[in-house]
Amino acid sequence: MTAQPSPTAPRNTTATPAFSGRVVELDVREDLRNGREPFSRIMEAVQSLAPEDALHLRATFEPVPLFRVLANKGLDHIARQNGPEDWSIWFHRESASVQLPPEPVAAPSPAASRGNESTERPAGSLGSPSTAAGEEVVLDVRGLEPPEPMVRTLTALETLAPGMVLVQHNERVPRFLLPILAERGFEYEIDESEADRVVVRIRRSAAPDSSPGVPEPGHATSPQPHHSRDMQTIELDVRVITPREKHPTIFKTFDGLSSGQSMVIVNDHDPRPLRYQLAAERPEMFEWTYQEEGPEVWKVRIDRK
Amino acid sequence: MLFLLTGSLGLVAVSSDLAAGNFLSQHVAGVTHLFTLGWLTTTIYGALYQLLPVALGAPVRSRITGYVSFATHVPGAAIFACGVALGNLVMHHVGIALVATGVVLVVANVALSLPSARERDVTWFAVALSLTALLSTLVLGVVLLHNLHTGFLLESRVRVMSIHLHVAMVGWALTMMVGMSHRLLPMFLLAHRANTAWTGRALVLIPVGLTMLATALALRMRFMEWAGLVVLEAGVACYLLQCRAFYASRIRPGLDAGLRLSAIALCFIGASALMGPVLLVLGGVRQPRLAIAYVLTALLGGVVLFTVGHFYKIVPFLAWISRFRSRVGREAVPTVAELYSAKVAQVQLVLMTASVVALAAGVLAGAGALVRLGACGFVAGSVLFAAQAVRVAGWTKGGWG
Repeated sequence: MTAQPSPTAPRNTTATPAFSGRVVELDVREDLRNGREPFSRIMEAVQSLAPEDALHLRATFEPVPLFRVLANKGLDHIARQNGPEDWSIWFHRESASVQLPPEPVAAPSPAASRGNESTERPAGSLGSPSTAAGEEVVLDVRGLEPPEPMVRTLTALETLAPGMVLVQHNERVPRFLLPILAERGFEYEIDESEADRVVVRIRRSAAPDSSPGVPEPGHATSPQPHHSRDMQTIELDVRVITPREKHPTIFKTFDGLSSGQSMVIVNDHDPRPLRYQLAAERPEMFEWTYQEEGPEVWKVRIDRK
Repeated sequence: MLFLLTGSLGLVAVSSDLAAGNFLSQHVAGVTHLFTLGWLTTTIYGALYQLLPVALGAPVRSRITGYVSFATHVPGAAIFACGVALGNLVMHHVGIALVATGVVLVVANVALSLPSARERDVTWFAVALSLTALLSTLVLGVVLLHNLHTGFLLESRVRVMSIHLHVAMVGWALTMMVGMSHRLLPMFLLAHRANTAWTGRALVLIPVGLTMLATALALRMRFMEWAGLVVLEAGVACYLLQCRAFYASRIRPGLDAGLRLSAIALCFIGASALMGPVLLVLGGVRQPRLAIAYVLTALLGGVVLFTVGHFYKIVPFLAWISRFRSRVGREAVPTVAELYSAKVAQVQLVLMTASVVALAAGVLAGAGALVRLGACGFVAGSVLFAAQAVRVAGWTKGGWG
């Protein structure tokens, strides 16, 4: 397992970062607009980077799945939305020297005009999840050619914290997606009441008290959770979560546990810093037990007292 | 795929007959049935079973019946087409019995599935109308087969053949295309804002016009032949206008090979629609080469190429779902477009388009060499298409990672 990227690098910015090495420019916006897949061009550019170099990628949307793919190759990222359908993402090695002007980390700039009136905050660029107020993540996949809506939805669901709801806006009922959701332990509710969209609300089949705001499902199925060992334990594989989101996700999951319930953290290194943080912020509330201690996989069982 | 390949090879074999306008040749009839019964009908069966649950929300009533229908239809179509080409009466009977069994099973299975559809929209009605036409085609086919043995139709045989051909091509294939285009083209083209009113008009005019035309041909009513043709042509025009609206409303300007092939196919349908009135004015089958060119343009250029184009949109996607469903969102996976070669698809597009033009032009001109050249080109295009299908199937089985 490759090293995880630095957790301190800001994910979003309004500034232009400076690098000690050269910056390779790659603009794939025309490829995306013309339906061409730019992945191979991006990987070629990544392979040409020296340790101190950075890749400045211009895209029409925030390429969230790419972040994880390149994180596995030891690349961190800094993202900036320049305008509707115009994103700048700088990929750099952890060891590269990065200077970011001292500006506050900005929230994503106002959305590309999709008219997504149903969210309280702008939706972000087309096809990337945005966080509305409360427990929801909104993903508007209208205008994307199949199977891109499915890819983006499943990618977003992999990092969906227990208790949160992914709200997909689609042009039609995503019939090929529904059985996959069931296989992966998700429940869903379909709303076809609006003329110009179908709204699918998706959440994990988690502990009963973890999603207070989600209405009773009409078409939902409730399969057994995909990654739970028994009804009392929630397993959380944090290897697929971006570094910045790991601890917040773990804490949110822990806070959703009932007394006597457990969670198992799966990581690629000893999560000892997490133990210290839990001890500082949730003193006397947990028991910490190693189930597996590397070198590739670390599993820790956290019992809520 | 085998039917497409053998039918294409059959085109080469019957190119002299085609150039001579010999549409009554048993070999021409055999090759025609390889394309219609073998390739098109089998493909439509498969598409129906796949799309019923997805497009109409109607689960297939009986999966076993579906498998049995394929098990009877496929060998039946092969035996029947060969029997027609060879003039073998035993193969006629065996083949048509198997084909008829398959048709009845499919019609029953789909008809029993339709009531559970979420809504009865234009696609639903198109499927229902197509099934009716399929049964009618079968009945007419049995009548013609009986005539082969007894000759009871006398000089009406050619008229009944014409009715059989139009009910099959227009009633069964084109009507199904209209219904499926209503669902699939906006999805593939990302053209969800297009006005879809033309589809409904097409679905009224096409079956009405076809019924009028078929009745007129049967009863030798000249005026009604023209009236039926006008109504039918209006219906085809509505369908083409609908497709044009979809293409014009698309979000992305670029078209992949599948959508380009489908667009070319629609142009060929338009061309054959223009040839219809000319054929009627000039006396129909008294112009045998024009009649063959008309059928070639509609069948190969229109329906076959449209089906091939949609293959590129549907089958790789299904293969991708099958292969990568457990990995999507968790790791990088190939795109659907990476399951086949875009360059090969483009070469195939050029080959098949040029071949249809060469075939039609060669037949009209009575130029056997040009017909043969077009047929060889169509074979080459079919081989490339088969190679693409093998490549996609290899992805499904995990052969390419």
